[in-house]
Amino acid sequence: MAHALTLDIERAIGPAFRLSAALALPEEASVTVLFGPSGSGKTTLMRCLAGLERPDRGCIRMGEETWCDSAKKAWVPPQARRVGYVPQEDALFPHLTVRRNLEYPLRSMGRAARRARIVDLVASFALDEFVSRRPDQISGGQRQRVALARALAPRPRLLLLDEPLNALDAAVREQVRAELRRSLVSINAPTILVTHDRTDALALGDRIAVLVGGTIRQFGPMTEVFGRPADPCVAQLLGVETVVEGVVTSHREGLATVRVAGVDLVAVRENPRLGPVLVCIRAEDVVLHRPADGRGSARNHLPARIAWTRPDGALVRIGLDCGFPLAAVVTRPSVEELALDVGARVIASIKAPAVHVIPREGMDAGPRLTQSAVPRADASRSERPASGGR
Amino acid sequence: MDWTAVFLSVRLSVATAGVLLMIGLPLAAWLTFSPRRWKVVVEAVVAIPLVLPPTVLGFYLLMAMGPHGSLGRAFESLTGGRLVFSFTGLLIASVLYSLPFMVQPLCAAFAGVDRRYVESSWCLGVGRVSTFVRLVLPLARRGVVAGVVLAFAHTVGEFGVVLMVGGNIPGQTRTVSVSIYDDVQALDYARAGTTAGALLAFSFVVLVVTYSLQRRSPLSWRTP
Repeated sequence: MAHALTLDIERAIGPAFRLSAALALPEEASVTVLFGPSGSGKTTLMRCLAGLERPDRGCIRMGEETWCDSAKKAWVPPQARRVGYVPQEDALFPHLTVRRNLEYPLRSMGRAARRARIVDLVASFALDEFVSRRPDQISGGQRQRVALARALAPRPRLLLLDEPLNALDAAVREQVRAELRRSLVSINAPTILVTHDRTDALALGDRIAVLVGGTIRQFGPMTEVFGRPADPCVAQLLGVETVVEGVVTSHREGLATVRVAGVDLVAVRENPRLGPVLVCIRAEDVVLHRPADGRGSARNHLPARIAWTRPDGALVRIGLDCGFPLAAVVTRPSVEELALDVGARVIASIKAPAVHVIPREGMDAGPRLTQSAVPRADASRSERPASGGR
Repeated sequence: MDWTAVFLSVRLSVATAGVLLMIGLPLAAWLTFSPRRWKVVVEAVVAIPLVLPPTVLGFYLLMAMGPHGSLGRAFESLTGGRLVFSFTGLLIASVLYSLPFMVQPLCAAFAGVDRRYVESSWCLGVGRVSTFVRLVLPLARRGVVAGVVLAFAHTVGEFGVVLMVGGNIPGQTRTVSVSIYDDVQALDYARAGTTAGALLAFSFVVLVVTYSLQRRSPLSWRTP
């Protein structure tokens, strides 16, 4: 399989930390989220890709080009890589207006071509309102748009975004997130986006690479990684076991109806946009009943069949099939009292506030069954790098 | 007031500040951005005039620029003229003596430019020299202004080096500070007082104009 970007690098940061990451991005232009806790080496990895730091060992290849290869002493400086890099806190030049910031990388272009490019960028990122203001005179969300537009101005081959939404407060964050996803879908370059926020990761990414302690533990499509974490550390970090695609079909009085694989779920959400979403449910929020029991106050009651069970300390993790795969976690005594064996029929109740809905642009419309909560030995693991034990 | 001396001082100071700007920009850029360890040695050499008595610096320059000194001989074989007791010699001495006053504000200003801006510029495909000219210099403009003003003012006020290297030739090497010294030696206190007062007023005006041009004085308490 051809890869757009392959990297396999090591870099020591201080005496105690070592980044040792391997990753191969598939050729199609998509958004890869680099997800991990603070101090896991996300930013160092991005800086190595941008050419701002040299790995101690290893190589980075972009298409046919070798950007860095310690064995052959190959090195391409950042100026020649054509990477759009937006660091944390955007780095817009404070002494230049928005327009001059956009023009900055286009000096070598002809006058007419440059003007056309600026007009194009200003229109597609809706910057005309504040194009003659300086960066300290516009809002955080506007800065974010300008930073992205400037990074894309010279038409980069790879886009790197380091915590693009971090500087924004919660109120504007959601709106900017939706705008960002729309922009990322429309551009024609592979993107790597760093975040430690689960909602950002789910809303913005197509694939996710989980970086813990300097190594990439798992890499794959979003729903697959969330549904089948490679190890307990990744599972704990991701925290959400069920991630499935759905469509918001209607909403009323603060409650949204989401259709997932033919099943209607009720979620709490003010004024959602109708359309494709990701539905996230934590295993801890799923309560299991025998079919005969009363309904209780929870809004969602899903007839389900137990597909698998797996003991996990004092708890038992249970995979359900209720039209879509759903993960639950219950205590051992409950398993015995309710006779929760593989094949048993149960009712899964989920309170409406526990059904998290994350709007997502650029996803196929219509619900599609995903294989998130079902562990399968035969699953294609071709996209996972030799993680961990390199 | 000795107007010849005044014009000579202004001429010398403008020339010194100009030459220093041309030397200081690349030198300060190298000192700030180079990863070399031994640049501290260069830093120390640049800063020597701050701690050395002007007479010591003047003595060595007199030796070097004299007819038997290496600098003096080289200059004489090239141009046929003398370096000591000439305006050119005075200019070379002033440039060396005021070097730290130009380089240090520049270094401080360059170091104050956020690394993120410079790196962003590189990633946008702009080369190192171009980044310096188009990004670092505009962001460090306060430091450039400060360096020019300090180098200019420091040259107007220099005395020891001028006396050692330049002597006291009217219209050629007799600067304002030397002329004041002469007047005092001749017990012409009135004339010395006028020149001194003019020099004081001039220094004050230059600083006020500079600070107001910089919009924010270095002492202002910035609102976040």
